[in-house]
Amino acid sequence: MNCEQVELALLEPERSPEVQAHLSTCEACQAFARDLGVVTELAALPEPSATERAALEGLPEATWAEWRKGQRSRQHWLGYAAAAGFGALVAAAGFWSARPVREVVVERVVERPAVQLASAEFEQPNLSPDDVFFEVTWPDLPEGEDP
Amino acid sequence: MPPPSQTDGALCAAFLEGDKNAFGELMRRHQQTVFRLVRRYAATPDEARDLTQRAFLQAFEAASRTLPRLAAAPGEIPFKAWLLRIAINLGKNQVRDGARWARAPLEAVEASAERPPDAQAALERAESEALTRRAVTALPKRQREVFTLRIDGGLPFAEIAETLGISEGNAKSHFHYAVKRLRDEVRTLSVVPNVPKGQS
Repeated sequence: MNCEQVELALLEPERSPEVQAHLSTCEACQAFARDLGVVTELAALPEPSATERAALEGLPEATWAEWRKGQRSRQHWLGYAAAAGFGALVAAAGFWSARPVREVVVERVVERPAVQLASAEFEQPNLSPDDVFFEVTWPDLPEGEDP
Repeated sequence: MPPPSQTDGALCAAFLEGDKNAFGELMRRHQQTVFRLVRRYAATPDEARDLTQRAFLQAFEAASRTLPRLAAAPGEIPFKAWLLRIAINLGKNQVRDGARWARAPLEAVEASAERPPDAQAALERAESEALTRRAVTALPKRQREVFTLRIDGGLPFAEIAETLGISEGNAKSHFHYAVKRLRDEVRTLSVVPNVPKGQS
């Protein structure tokens, strides 16, 4: 075992014979073991005093009451939120149904007499069907030129 | 009264379905550990009690949010791990918000019944304890978590690893670094002869 492995092994309460053997010959690991003991002892808090122990008495009951209070308060808030949401929905529906509707142009078009609409389709109603078509011919090319 | 063999997760699920006894059993199981963890950061016993209560309430809150999700993907609520992590964070926040850590260790020292007979030695000892405890609260986050779970909570490394979601080897490594750091701090600041300067 190297020193780092021994130092990590020293963190556990039990010491294997291998660790003990290393420790008996290694001054650095002996120093770490000593420091570990000192540091943990200095850092540890004393056992809870009588006042502290008394402070814990009745904690489950008090915490239960606090939890119930929180739940009730949350239910109230959820109720308020649901009511506010419903109110907003009703208001939105009211606004939607009461909104001003624009008169649509279609109505005026429909109101026109049918004759007027028919005549509106042809700008020159007197043209015969033959006048509508015209012949398409290729232009004459000068001689010797290919298209 | 729920059977003592029931797991924390099962008790937590029972409590969230309205079983008050399950709530009480969970609190009785863990309130001592939580209290020991948070008292390092509290100025008075009442403050430690308040932090303990808040840790439980927040853990129950987290459980109530998680329970519906567990119905879809069954699993156990890691209640104790949440509780201890919440407790450590609440403690640290208490220190940050109130900067009260300087008072806490001194009061704890005053409450201590064991005192060396020599007044000067007692004073030096109290100073070293206060310095070391202050140094604990200033450790890097992970080292502080591992160190306090081990020293204050008395948890084995396997359970510390489970609580923090790290490997056992990693937990030991953090503790090892924390000890070395604290040792250096104590050497720099303290006059305690037990930790002589310049020795490895």
